[in-house]
Amino acid sequence: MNHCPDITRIQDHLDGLLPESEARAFRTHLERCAACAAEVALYRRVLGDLQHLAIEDPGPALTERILDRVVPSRVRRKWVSIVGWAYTAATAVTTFAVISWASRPDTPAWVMARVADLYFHLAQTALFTLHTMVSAVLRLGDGWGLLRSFGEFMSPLVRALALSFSNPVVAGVAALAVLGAGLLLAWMRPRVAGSALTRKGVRHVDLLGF
Amino acid sequence: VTSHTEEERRANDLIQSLPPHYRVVVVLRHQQDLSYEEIAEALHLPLGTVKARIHRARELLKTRLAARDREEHGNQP
Repeated sequence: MNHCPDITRIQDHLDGLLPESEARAFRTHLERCAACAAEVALYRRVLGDLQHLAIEDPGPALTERILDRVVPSRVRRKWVSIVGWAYTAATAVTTFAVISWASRPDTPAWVMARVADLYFHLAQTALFTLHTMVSAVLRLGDGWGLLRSFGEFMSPLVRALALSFSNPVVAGVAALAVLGAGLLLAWMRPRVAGSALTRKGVRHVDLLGF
Repeated sequence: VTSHTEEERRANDLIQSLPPHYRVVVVLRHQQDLSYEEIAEALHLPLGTVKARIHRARELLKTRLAARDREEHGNQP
């Protein structure tokens, strides 16, 4: 076994990683060394067996579940969805609690008045919307008339909005909301990575938004 | 249900006999046909570690194969 290549060199040879001159010397050595030839034969059997490893198809459902957990854009989308549902649920519970509390017989008069005001404004808004829609449908035949009528109906709303935004607090909150929405959109944008795996032909990764 | 040939069953038995950290690199190398560099990137491991683990895993499999051969030959009359 003098001058026998170590185990690592045998495996490098089987992987085809040895330079040609070393590979030639190794093959020459194998012809004379029974021990190394036996080692190589065993390694060849191992590699031959490993070639038969079955490729399991996990199915689309499992693939989707894994992608939902590891693809950054999907993870962000999931969290945005959770926050959205939590916000909706919190709003519904709060509204229900406030209405239940305001409907009790011993509710103070000023609360009842505020709730009545709220219902009145809600009904007014619903009627305004309905009236606008009906008028728009009736004037569908006249394109300019439809536009003018829409402008006439919308002008009080635009004036009311302009009046609201003249309040510094309302304008500040609206500006913050716009900024927050912009940041959220920027955070959710698809990102393309330049890793070696994507460069070497795993093209679907790009489409998934990595 | 997936049906396996005898060769596939033997290969799966070999893989299952390995410790998990060896099993992962062997599957990526021999089932997914990834290069050493790609395995190192996928697992966030140094290239030398990947190579050493694959070599060590094959050495383990080779030793078990040799032991099994000796047992079979020893049982023969």
